[in-house]
Amino acid sequence: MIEVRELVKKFDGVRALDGATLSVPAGSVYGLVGPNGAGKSTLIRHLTGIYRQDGGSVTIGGKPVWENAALKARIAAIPDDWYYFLQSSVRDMMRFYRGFYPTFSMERYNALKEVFQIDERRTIRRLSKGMQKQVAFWLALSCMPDYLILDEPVDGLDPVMRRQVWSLVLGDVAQRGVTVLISSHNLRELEDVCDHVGIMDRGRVLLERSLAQLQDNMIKLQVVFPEGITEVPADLPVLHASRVGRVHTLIMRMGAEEATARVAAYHPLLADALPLTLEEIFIYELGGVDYAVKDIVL
Amino acid sequence: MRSKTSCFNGALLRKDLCRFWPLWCAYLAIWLVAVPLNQFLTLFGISARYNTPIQLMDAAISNLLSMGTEMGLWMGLAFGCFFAMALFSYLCSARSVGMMHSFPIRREGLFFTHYLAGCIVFLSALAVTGLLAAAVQGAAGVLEWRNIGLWFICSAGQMLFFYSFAVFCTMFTGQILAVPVFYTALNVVVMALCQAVQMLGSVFLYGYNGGGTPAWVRWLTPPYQLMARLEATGTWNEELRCDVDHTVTGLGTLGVYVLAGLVLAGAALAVYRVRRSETADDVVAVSWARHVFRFGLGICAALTVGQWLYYLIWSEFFEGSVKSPALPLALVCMAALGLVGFFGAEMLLCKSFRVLRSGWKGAVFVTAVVLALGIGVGLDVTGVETRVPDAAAVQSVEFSFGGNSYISGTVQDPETIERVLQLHQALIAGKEEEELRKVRFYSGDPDEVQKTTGQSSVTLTYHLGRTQMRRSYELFYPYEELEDPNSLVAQLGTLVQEPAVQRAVVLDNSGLTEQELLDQLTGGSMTYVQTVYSDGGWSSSSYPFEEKVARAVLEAVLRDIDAGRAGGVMFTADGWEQTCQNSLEFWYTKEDGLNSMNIDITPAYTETIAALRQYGIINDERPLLTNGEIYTLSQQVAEQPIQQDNYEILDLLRQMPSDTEASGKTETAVEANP
Repeated sequence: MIEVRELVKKFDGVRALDGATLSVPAGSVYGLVGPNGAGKSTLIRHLTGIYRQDGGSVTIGGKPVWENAALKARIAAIPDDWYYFLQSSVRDMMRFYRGFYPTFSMERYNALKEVFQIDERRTIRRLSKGMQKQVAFWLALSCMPDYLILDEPVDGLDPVMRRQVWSLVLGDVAQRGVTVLISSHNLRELEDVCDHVGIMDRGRVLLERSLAQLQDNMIKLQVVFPEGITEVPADLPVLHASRVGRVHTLIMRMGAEEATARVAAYHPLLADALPLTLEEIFIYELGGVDYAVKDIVL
Repeated sequence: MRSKTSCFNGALLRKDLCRFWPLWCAYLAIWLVAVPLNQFLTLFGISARYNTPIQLMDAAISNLLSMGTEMGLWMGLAFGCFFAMALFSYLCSARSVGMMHSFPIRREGLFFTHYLAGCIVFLSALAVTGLLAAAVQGAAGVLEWRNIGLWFICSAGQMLFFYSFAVFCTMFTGQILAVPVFYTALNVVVMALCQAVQMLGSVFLYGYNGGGTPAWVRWLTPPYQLMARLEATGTWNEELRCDVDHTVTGLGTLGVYVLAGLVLAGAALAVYRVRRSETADDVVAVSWARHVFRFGLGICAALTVGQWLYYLIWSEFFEGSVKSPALPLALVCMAALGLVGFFGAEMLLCKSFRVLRSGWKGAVFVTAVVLALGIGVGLDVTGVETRVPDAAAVQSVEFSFGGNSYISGTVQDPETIERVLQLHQALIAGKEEEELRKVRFYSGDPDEVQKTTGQSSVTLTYHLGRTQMRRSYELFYPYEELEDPNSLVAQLGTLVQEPAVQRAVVLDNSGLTEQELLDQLTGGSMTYVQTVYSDGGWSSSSYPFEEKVARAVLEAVLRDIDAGRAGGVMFTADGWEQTCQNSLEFWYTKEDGLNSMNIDITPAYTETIAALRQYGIINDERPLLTNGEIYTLSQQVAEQPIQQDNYEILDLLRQMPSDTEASGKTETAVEANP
């Protein structure tokens, strides 16, 4: 289990992390989402032992990560800007990784060679961005980690390779109980692979729930009110409302049944409850903290 | 499960060794050229044809040891920095530092492995070089493992220190190009600041001429200290005509620096542990060092570039026309450059040009410090100008007096020290007058001023046990003041003629006691004019004399000194003309071989001249002539119609109306057609 409690990190007096708290259950796939500058990468760098926190705690399996080599040997990370030595080939980097990770599996490395189909003698520098990302996955998965921490992991990968990579990751989760934390802006993709989601903004985790809980907690209603009601009644607790013709689309923070019951009081001609996508949840949740899409006329 | 989480990582070490191979090869290649190839050329090259085996061995060992001491210093200085830059370059990029620090290894492990990689490389390179040098020496039959060991110790010791120092510097920055800048600056900053402060004092404080370089400053300037202390030496063997018993002096100093290197490596690790990964790309990576950087750069800029700007403006517009140096101008220049340094540092730290508003408090602080320092020194708040040491505290006084000639020596007897102190007091009391005279001297018509005014210098260094005090004065005096016994120049002239002072001059040249000098004399020579050319010039030659004669002549010189006949023309208007062209050279042996010293004489050295005449050193062919007489002769020859290119001095002297030896400057007539 990954536990972050009241994590604080300051850069030149600016609080990049301002009391962030999250918990990733063991064996889960946790999606960390948030707007640019929310502190996702900073938090991930604490989880991988790169940054030392100014306050709070970062533990994995109950042990602090900072300078804990034994624990870090069980963590593999792919940062958004993966580093490799300029002159190194895939094989060179494999040897380098193998020298650090006691659990590095040559068997898996050779098996993944078939998956990624990259000549291991080629200099990584000469590979495309997407192929470099594949190499990062190749090496990280060969380390046989118990914890996999990924920051924008599929950027640059083609759709086929994305599916391939997710399939490998989820396979590890299913077979070995690997705990995965993914930071990404691709919410549609996260929705497919994550079972838990945390939303960050301004250095804090605003909410974290399982995806099912998150979707149950917010509903989208499409409503047609009877003649005489042109505006959304003021007593309805609506997060966001929009209108096309006579059809009102209402986003409400409650279950589908409760929302339908509240609208029924106005005898609507039509009331249809629809589940929200993760992207919509992200947008409307952050709308509550002044991070909504603004209608700006240029 | 295998454990790979210790304080050392083999994969990382192998990567370091493979990754930077061009640098390692360059280091090895330079040493291979400098040592084995050099040894080969020395032992088997052209010099092998005309040198004896012992002389070849001497040349080879001298080369080897000086490579260890001198080249080892430069190699250590340069490659120590390159090694540290290469091995710890990952700290200067957010991507690379992120990867390294996310690996399952502690900071200690990363540091130790990288540091060890550097040590392994230079030790291996030096070992290979040493073995090849041994092979070359072995082939020539002159193999001496002791000297190869000395070379190895010197090279490896210096490299270890400078490499560790560079690693230490690297820990403070996240910019790769800042590493050599910091490293170079920290190698010399203490000496530079010491010199800058002393220079500031010597401009504004009458008589202050710096306090020398204190020992702690030398120790904190490693290149200077190692260059001065670590030296390859040998003992000259007259019979073999080469040095023998080669060794290296200053190994203790090297040992201290090796220990310091290990301490610096430990300190570097401590800094690394507190250094934050996010500081990659920052000029200064450690928070407390950022303050040192911004204020240090401001104050250094004020003291160095600020002073330079002041001298530039002063020398162009004010020098020679104003009595005292312009303290306000100096303060303005120093404060301005201090602010430039401070805000420059602030810009580097903040990575922004907009630092005026955020840095104003620091700027005020830097300005205040610079002004306080400048005013403190300029107004002599510590009383440096008027300080004269207590006679009881003075163990010895090193003096240098300049006039028509330049003499220096060391006196230790209390009576002479007391007289030096009296002169020092008189010099302090005469400050106002001397500063006015200096302005008049430099602002007047040079031709006119030099006819009527003499210039002399006095430098005194008091040895006060563990400390020393140094003062230096310039005197400008009308020549008629020599007649006034109360004038400064007359007091100085009296001191210069003191037998104790003149004996100190002679003995200071040799570094021996009088008896040792007389015992160890091996001979001597006297220079004399041989030919005068029609273009007004002349050539001289020297006439050697044997040990017994040298002893007799030197004893005569000492008798003249004791009779107060020496130093009489040091400050007179015609002092140079009155000094004999015939200079005496005495040869003597010391532990380091044959040495020599020169003594200038005047016609007043009657006993010396008598001894020279008695032993036939002075005669008609080798006449005693003053510079004035030579000058007159050459002038007269130059005025002759050109009939021949040169004139033997003997011919010229025969045409002179009378013998002028020992009688000072004489008008000499030369016939139109000699």
